Amino acid sequence: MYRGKRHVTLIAVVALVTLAGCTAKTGDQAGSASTEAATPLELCVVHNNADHPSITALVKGMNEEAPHFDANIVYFDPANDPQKQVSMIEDCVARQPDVLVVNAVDPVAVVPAIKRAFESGIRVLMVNADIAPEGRQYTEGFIGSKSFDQGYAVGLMIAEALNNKGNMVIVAGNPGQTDTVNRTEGLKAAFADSDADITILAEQTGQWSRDKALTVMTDLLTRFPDIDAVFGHDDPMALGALEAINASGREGIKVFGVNGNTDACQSIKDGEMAGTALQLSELVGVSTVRAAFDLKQGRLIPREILAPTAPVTPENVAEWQDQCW
Amino acid sequence: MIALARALGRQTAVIVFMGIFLLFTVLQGSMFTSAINLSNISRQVAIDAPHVMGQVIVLISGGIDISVGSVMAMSSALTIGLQEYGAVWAVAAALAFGAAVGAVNGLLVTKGKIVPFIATLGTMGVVRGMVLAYTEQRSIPGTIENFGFWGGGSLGMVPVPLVISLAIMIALWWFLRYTVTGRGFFAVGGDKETAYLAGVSVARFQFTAFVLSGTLAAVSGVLLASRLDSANAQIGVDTPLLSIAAAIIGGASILGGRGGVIGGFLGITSLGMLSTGMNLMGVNTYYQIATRATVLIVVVVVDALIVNSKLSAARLPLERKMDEHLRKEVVIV
Repeated sequence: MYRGKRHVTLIAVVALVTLAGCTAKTGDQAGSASTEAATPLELCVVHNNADHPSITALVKGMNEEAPHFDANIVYFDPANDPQKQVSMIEDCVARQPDVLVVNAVDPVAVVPAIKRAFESGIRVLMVNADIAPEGRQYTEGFIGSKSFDQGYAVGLMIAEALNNKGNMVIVAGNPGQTDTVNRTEGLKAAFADSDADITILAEQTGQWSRDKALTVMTDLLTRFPDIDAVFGHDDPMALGALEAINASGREGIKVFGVNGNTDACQSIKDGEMAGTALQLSELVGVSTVRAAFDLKQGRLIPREILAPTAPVTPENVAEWQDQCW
Repeated sequence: MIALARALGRQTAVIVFMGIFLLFTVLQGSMFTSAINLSNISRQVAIDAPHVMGQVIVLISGGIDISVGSVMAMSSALTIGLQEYGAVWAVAAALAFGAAVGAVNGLLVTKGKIVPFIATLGTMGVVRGMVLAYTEQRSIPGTIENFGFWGGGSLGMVPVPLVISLAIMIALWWFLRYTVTGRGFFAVGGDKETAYLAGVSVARFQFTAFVLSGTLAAVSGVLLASRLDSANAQIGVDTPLLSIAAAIIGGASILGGRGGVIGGFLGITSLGMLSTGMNLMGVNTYYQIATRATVLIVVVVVDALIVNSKLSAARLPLERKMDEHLRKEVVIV
């Protein structure tokens, strides 16, 4: 119907081809990763979900450490979407950073993308949530927290609080993720070492989210009339579970979390939450920048760099409160 | 001049595509136009292209399909989960699932007389629940050795999914333009009553549109399963908005009666370039969401203005009558 249509398309195609031809070059173009200390450290970071206090702390740690190593850091947030994370990883690879830092949304789904990054010569560091075991050969290392120890610390706290006998439920993080798996394993190991006769009635995921944890806990309260303790894999979820318990009017349920968030520490001080285990996310961020710098210098780094933990209880919360974040 | 403006008015997809390409070429130069980067963009786009084209067909026929994300996720999960029966059967099951959900959508709209938005909103929720149950919220790794070829592999520099999607696009373009069945979608979407009075089976076309959309969403799911080499319950949450935006940039209208699969392909490519270009520039993710929405708004507004403009006065009687019809729909928008 419109003759102009063909003209426009033709002009467009010709212009496109000309432009692409003029500016495109085959092969890698950006400066190859060199070991000169003079050039800034270029980092490309792909989060799993920036909308979480531990990631905010991690970013804070990275940003504070960056000037000491002349680092330029770019952050991408796929908001828990594995497909978007893969696209962002590929776009990061196109930017040719010195180090690519990835916090896996899904430990399995990132494997092909990280493999491709490795094959294009980019060094990859996993942070906070590691890649699945079959993908580790493509990464330089993992920087995170001793999540097993965190679970262990909480396990000891629960065993003591319940006198080695009782029922509990777990409101867990995303299934399959490093911290989720390790914290539950740590908990069970602590029970085994204490010879505790504590039954885990259920473990359901709250997806690291306070409101999901609230819903999950409400349903768990309905299902199980006899719960003595709750282990939320992080403080937001623990606080969500606490809200559910308060709303239901049930008494005598002790709530434990992990992180050492300010509101959780205050809650422990006020006698509401029963305990938490510290997670030093800011330290993880700082360590990431340092490890990335070492990689750029061509130094070897440890396979795992894990930040330590400590239990925070009503007894010692006063000492730890300024560490809470 | 008038002819140029008229011609341009119908080519929003090409203009947006060219505009975004030019913008990032100027801003980022060879990083953007490098073979690697264009290959990345085309791979990402090629995986989303099938469901966009499905959305275009549904929009042409006067409907809308917001269950595409959930269908993509479930078919992706089935493709991986059923790998023990062989890749062929797994893929076939995934595609059959997509078609089945499309059929359900079609029946809800034609027999149940439910508005497409609500009908597909319902199936979106139900299917998402199925994905969560089927995967038990953990990811399922793929077990077939070279399955990653279809979504993740390349023939030379050309990504395999691009070849597949372009083939589908050409087939659908020919189908929509040159077959009676294809053109029937336009009739039904353009004016249901007139089509009905002309003897066109409106219900049959609406039903078929949804079945096609469901199947194409499943194709996207299969390609994605291959690219990630795993199944995950969290994918496809953003997809309905993405496919509608891409389809509209490509010339489709919420009110039905127009659109094209080539436009849809250009639309999703434009959005893909926008996203990657902004990533390369280091733009914060949240600004990216706002930018994508702005592009969509600009496209819709400019399109409305051009249709309404006085330039369209100097046209043939038939074209002016067409404009009257289009002006009516634009006012409602």
